[in-house]
Amino acid sequence: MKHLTRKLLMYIGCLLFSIPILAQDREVTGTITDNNGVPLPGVNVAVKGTSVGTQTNFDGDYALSVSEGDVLIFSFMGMQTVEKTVGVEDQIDVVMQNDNESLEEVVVVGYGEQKKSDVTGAIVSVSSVEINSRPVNNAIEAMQGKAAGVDITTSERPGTVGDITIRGVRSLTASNSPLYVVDGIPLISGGIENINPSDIESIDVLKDASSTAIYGSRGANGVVIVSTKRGKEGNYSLSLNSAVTFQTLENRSELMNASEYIEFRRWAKYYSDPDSFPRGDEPTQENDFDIFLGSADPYSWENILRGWEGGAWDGSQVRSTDWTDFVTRTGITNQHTLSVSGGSEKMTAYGSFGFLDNVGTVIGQSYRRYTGKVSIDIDATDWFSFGATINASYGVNEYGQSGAGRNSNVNGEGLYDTARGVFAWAVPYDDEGSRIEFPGGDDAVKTVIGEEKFSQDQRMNIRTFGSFYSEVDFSAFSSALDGLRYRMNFGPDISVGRDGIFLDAQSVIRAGSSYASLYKEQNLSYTLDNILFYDKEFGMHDIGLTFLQSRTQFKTEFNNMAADNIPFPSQKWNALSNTNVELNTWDSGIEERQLDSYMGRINYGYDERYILTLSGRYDGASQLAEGNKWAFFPSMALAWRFDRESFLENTDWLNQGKLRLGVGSTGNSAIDPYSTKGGLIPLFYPSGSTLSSGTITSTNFANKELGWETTTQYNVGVDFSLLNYRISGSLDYYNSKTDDLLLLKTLPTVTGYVDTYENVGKTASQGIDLTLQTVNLDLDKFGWESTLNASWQDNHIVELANGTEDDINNNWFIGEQLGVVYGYESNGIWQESDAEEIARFNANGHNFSPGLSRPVDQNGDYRIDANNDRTIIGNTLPKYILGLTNTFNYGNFELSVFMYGRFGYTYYTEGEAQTGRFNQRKIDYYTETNTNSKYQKPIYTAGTGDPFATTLGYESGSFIKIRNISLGYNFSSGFAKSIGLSNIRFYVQAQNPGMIFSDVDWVDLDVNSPSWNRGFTTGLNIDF
Amino acid sequence: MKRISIILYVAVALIFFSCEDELEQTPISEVGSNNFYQNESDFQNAVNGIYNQLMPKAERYFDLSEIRSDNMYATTEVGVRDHEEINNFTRSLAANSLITDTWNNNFNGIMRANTVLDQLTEDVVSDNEVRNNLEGQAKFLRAVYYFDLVRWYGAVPVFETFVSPEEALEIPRSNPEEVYALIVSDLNDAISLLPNNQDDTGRATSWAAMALKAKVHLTRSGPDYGINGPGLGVNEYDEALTLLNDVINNGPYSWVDDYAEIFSYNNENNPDIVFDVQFMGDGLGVGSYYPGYMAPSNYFNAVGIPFPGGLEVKEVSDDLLESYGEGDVRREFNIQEGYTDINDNFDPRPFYRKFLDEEEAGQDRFDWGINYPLIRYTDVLMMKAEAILQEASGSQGEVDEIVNNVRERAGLGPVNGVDLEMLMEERKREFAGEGLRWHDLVRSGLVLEVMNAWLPTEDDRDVMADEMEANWIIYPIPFDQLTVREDLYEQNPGYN
Repeated sequence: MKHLTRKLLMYIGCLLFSIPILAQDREVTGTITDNNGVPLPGVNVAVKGTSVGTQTNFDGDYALSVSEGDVLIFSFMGMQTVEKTVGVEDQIDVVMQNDNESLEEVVVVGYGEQKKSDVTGAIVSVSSVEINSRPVNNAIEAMQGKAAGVDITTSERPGTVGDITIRGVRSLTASNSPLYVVDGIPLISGGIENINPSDIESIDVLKDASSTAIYGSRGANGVVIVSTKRGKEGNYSLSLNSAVTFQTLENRSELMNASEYIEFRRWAKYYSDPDSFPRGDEPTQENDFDIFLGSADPYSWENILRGWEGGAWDGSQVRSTDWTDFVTRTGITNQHTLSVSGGSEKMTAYGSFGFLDNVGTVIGQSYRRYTGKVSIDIDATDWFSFGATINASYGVNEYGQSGAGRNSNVNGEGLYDTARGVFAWAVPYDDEGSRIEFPGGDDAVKTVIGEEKFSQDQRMNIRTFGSFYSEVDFSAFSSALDGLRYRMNFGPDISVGRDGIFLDAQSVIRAGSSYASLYKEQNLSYTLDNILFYDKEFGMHDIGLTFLQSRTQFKTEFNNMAADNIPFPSQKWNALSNTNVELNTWDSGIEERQLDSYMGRINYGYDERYILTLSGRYDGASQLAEGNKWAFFPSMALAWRFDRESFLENTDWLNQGKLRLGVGSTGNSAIDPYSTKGGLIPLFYPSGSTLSSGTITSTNFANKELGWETTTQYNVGVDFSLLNYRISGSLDYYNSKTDDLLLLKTLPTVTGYVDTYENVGKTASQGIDLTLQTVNLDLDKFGWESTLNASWQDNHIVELANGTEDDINNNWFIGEQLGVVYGYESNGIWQESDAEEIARFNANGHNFSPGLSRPVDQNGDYRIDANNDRTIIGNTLPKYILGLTNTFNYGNFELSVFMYGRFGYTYYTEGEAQTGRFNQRKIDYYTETNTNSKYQKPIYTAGTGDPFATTLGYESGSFIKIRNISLGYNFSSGFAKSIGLSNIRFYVQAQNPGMIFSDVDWVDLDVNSPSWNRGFTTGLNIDF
Repeated sequence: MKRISIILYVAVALIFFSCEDELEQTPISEVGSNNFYQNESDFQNAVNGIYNQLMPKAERYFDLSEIRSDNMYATTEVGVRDHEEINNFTRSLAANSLITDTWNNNFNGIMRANTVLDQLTEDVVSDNEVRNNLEGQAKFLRAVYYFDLVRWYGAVPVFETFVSPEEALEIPRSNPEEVYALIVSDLNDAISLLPNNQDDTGRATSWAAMALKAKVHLTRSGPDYGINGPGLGVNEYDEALTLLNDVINNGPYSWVDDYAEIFSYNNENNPDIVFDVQFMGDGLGVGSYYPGYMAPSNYFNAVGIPFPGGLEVKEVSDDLLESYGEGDVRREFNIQEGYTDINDNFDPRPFYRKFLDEEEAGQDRFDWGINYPLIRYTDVLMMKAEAILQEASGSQGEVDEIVNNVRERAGLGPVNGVDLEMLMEERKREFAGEGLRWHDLVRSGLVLEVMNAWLPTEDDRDVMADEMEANWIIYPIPFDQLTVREDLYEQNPGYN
C-alpha cells in the first residue's frame, strides 16, 4: 500500500511538471489534395512536438495557429506523411502522395505490433473486412479458409466452436489447439466463442516458432491474436450490422424406406438362421409377424400387413415414416450488432451491443448470446496514456437432448441420430393418437416424439474479460529517454457457467426413471504484464527492445450433483434437495495454476533492408515439480527485404519482396495441475451394513520429472508483391521437431501402477503454406480478384514411450504419421467360389461364409489374428488443404464464392454392422441375388455383427466444397447521403450450397458427418 | 536528472510489483500422500484400501474360472466378446482385456498391501494388538492376491516391498515354488497375528487364514501336468487336513440348513461364510456388478428392472444343467432356464441367477448389495473330504457323511463310497457360479480328462478348440507386459 501511494504521488508529480506551455501567434491556412487534385477531408495537421493540431474539413481546408519555425506534420491514412516548416507565408497547400507501404496492414506480433514489411516470422492476418464478409457465429468460423496452414472444422451445433489446428498436429496426448490472445491478454481457458465477431478488428495468426516463442510454454500450437475494435480519431460513427439466416438440415445419407428395410431385415433373419427363416426375397406373412415383432407393436404390424393385402408381398403398399421430420425444423439465426466509434485526439472510444439468436435445425437446440463491448483510449498527457477494453457476454445454449444420464440400453446419440434410428415401417401413433413408446416393438428403439419436452440440457455462460493498460512515454521527460516506454497490462477474466440437465422418465434415452443434474463452474484468472519498450533509430540502425515480466493466475471451482427419480418434472434441476431426492452423485473441486514469466526481445533493422529479431522467454509453472519448474524458450529470425537492394529497387515487376528465416523453440503446457504430486484417493469398503472409509495411492504413478513438450521449428519464407501489386502473397516452408512428448508410458503393472506420464516421445513434421492474392481483372466497371490459401503437411512419429517400439493400442507407429488407421485390410467379400479358402480358415476356428467381409491374411497362415494380420491402412489427417475465394465486382455489385477442400487422407466410416436389428442407411449389401456388393450380408443379432465389417469402412477422403456464395450491393454514397446515411451495403448469401466433389458420397467430409446445415442469409450493413 | 531517477525508480518498482515466487500450488481438493499414514486410523484406511481391490474379483472369477470350465458354454456365432476367447481356448489370449485386468488388479492389491507393510511400524501404531491385526490383514490379503496370480499365471514376480517402476524392470518372474513360499509365510504370519474374531464384519480372521492355507496346500499338492503351473505334486494333504479340522472343530462356523439362505440378501455374513467380499447397495458406490453379469440385458427389461445386465446371455452348459439330479433345489436356485422377453418371445438359454434377487435391485447395474463368498464353511468341509480321498488320513465314512450332508440339504438322497470324481461332481453342483470349478478340476488332476470328454459334446457352434492342451491350465502373461522390457518375461507356452 505504501508503495502504491508513493507511486501515485510520482505520477501526479510528473503530471504537474511535464505539460509544456507553448505560444501560438498567427494562423496559417491551406488546402490538402491528393495527386489527382481531389481535396482530402480528415487529414491530420499537427505541430510537431506539441499537442496542437486540427483536421481538414470536407473541402480539404484547414486553419491552425502557429509560430514561425514550427514544423507542420500532415498525415493521412494511405498517404505519405509530409512535413513543412512554417515560414513567412500564411498559406501552406499540400499535395499528398499515395503511400503503398503505409497502406499495408500493421501486424500484431505479440507484446507489440509491427509493419507487415518488418515482420520476420510467419504470420497471417485476417482483417475485419474478411471477417465480416459473411455472417459467422464466432471468430473461429470467420477464419475458416482465410489463412493458409490453419485448418478449422465446422461445428454445426449452435453455440459450439469447431476444432482448429495450425500447421497440423504434433502432440499425441496433449492438446493441439492454439493459444488465443485477446487484446494482448492470453486466454487461459477457451472463450473465443464469447466474442462478437463484429467487434473484431483483426485476427493475426502466428504460425512459426520464431514468432510464437515469445509465448514460451504456450506457443507450440501457434498463437491466434484477436484484436477487437477501438475508437478512431475523427468523426463519430454509428453502424448497424444485421443478418438473418435460414437453415435447413440436409443429409447426404439416405435411410432405407419401409419396403427396403423390411426386405433387409428378412435377409438378416435368414442369414442368422436359414433353417427357421425364409430367404429375404421369399417372405411369408407368418414369418414376418415374428421378424417384425408383430405382437409387440400391433400398429406397426398393421402397416406391414398392407404389403400382404393382395396375398403376395407388395412392399410399395407399406407406408414409410420419416422420423427426422419430428425432430427437425428450419433454423433461424438473427444477428444484430450496433456499434459506435469515434474520438478526439486525446480520447477515442468504441462501444457495441450484439445480439445473436441461433435457433438450431434440430428441435431443442438453440443458442442466444448477448455481447457488450466498450473500449476506450485516453492520452491523458503527452507522457501518460491509459486504455481499457471490456468484453462481456451472456450466452444460453440449449444443447438439446443430453448425452449425460443416457441409459446405455438405448441407441443413438443426440436427438437427430436417435430419430434416424427409428424404423421407417413403424408408425408413430396408436389408434387413440397416443405415441407408441417402442415403434417397431424393439425395446432398444424408443420413439422420439415429444422428446423436446422430455429432455433438456441448458448451458448458461457469463463471461467478462478485460484488458487494461497504462503507458508511460519517457521521451516527454528527456530527449535522452526518447523511445523508452513502460506499459502495464492487466487482464482479468471471469466466467461463470451452469449446466442443467433434466431427463423425464419418458425420454427416449431413459428407461423408466427421470434424471436431473446440475453443474456449476466458476473461473477466475488474471494476467499482469510489466513491459518496457525501447525503440530508437540511429541513422541506418533501427533498434527495438522489449522486456516483459508477467504473471498469470488461474483458479477454477466447480460443483456437481445429480439424482434420479425427480418428483416434479417442472422443477427440473432446480430442486435437488435432500427432502426431494436422493443424490447419487455430488462432488466439488478446486484447481489453481500459476505461470511466472520473463521475456526479452531485440528487433534490429539495418537500412530497412536487414531485420533481425531475437527473443527469449523464461517460464515457470506451478504444475511442475520442484527443480523442473522453469524452462527457457529462445528464438531467432532474420529478414532480408531484397526489394530495397539497389539492383532490384527500380524494377517495375517487383513491388515488395522479403526473405525470412526463423528458428525458435516453444512449449506445450499440457500438464494437469497436481499430476506431479502423488495424491491419495479416498474410497470405501463395506463392513456388513456399515460403510468404512479407505484410501489408496493415486492410480497414476506421479512423475516428478515432468516438463513441457518442446517444439523446435525452422521456417523459411518469402513475401512478395509483383506487377504493381497485381500478385502478392507469401510462401513458407517449415520443419519442426517436437521432443519430450508427454506420453502415457506403460509401466510394469506388477508395481501396482498401470502407467505414468513421461516426457519421452518425439514427432517431426514439415509443411508448406502458400497464400496468394491476385487481381485477375481490373477494368473500369468489372474487377476479379482471387485469394488462394493452400497448405501441404506431413508428419511422422520418431520415438515413443518405449523407445522405437510401436504403440499398437494407440495406433502410434514409429516412422508413420500421426492419425494412421490400423486394422485389417479388406479383401472384399467372401463369394461362393471361395469355398475352399473359407474351409481352410474355418479349420482354424474362423466362421467365414460367403457374403461375409473378407480380411486380408497378411502372413498367410489361414488365421486372422490381431497380432499378425493388422496393418496400416491409411491416415486420417489430410495432406493438402485448400481455400479459394473468388471475388467479382461489377459496378456496385460484389459476388464472392468461397471454396474449401481437403485432400489425400483416409476417412474411416467404421463399415456397416448390419445386425438387422437397428435402422439402416441405404447401402448396397450382399444377398444371394446381389453377390457383387459393396458391403457384406446382414445377419440379425443383438450383438455387434460381422467381426470384420469394419474392413469395408475405409474410404479415400478428398473433397471440394462450396462453403459460401455471397452477393452484395453497395449503394452509392450519393444515395446513402440522400437518406442521411454514409454507407449502406445489402447482401444475400448461400452457406454450404453443396459439394463440388467428394470421395465419400454419403458423408459431408467437411463436417465429418452425413448431415449438415444449408443456410440462406440476407444481411444489411449501415453506417450512419 | 533528479526527475529521471525518480521515474526510473517508479518503473523498476512496477516491474517487480509482483515478483514473489508463488509457484508452489498444493492440491486442496486431494489428500496429499506426504502427510498420510501417520496414525492408527490412517492405517485402518489404508488396509480398507487393500480390501477394496477384492471387489472386481467376482466378475473375474466368472470369466476366468466359470467360463473357462465345463460349467459354461458362453459363446455366440460371431464371437466378439472378450470372454468368448477364454471360453473357446483361443491361443491369442494374451491381449485379452480380462487377462490383463486380472493381472493388474492382483498386483495392484499387492502394491497396496506392500505400501502398508513397508510403513507400519511401532512408531506410528504403538498398540501391539492393533498393529498385529493390521499387519495380519495386509499379509492375508497379499496371500489372497498372490494365490490367485499363481493359480492363473504360474510363475510371477514376487515383491515383499513396494517397488519402483525402474526396480520392477530388474525383477523377473519367480517359479511357483517361490511364490508359494511367500504365500505360506504370509498365511502363517496371518494365522498368528490375526484375532479369532474381528470387530468389523467381513475382515479376515485367523480361521479364514487357516482355511485359505489349507486350500493352498491342496493346490500345491495337485499334479504339475508338466507345466510351470499351480500344482507342484507335493503331498501336503495332512497339513491341509490339520488346518481344516482346526477350523471345523474350533471355529465359529456351523451348518446352514437351507441352501438359499447362504446367499440371501437378508442373511449376509451367515455361519457358512468364512471369508467373503463385502458389498452394499443403496447407491453408495460400493455395490456389486456380478449378480447380473451373466444375465442378458433383455431379461432385466422383461422383469421391469430399468438397467441392463451383461448385454448378451452367458450360457450355462447343458452338462452342468443335466448333472443336477431330480429334486435338486440347487438347479433352480443357481440357474434361470430361459425367460420371456417383453416381446413375448421365449429365450430358452440358461444363465446363472444364483446371486440375483430382483426385489433387491439397486440404482444401477453396479449396485447390487450381496456379498461374494470366497471361502465357505461347506467348502472347508468338502476340502476335508478331498484331503482324505487324496492321501490324508481319514475314513471313507467321514467323506460320505460330508457329501451326504451336502446332498441332503440339496434335496437329494445319500450315496456311499464317494470317490474323488464323485466329490468333484458334487462340488460342481454345490459351488456352481462361485468361481471354484476351474481350480477344482486343476487341483484334483481331472482337468484334461473332464474337459476333453466334455468339449465335443457341448460345442454345437464349433467355435472352441478341438482339444484342450495342458498349457492352457494357466493363462498367458498380458501382452502389454511382455513389452515393458524385452526378455524380462517369457510368454507361457501355448500362447503364441
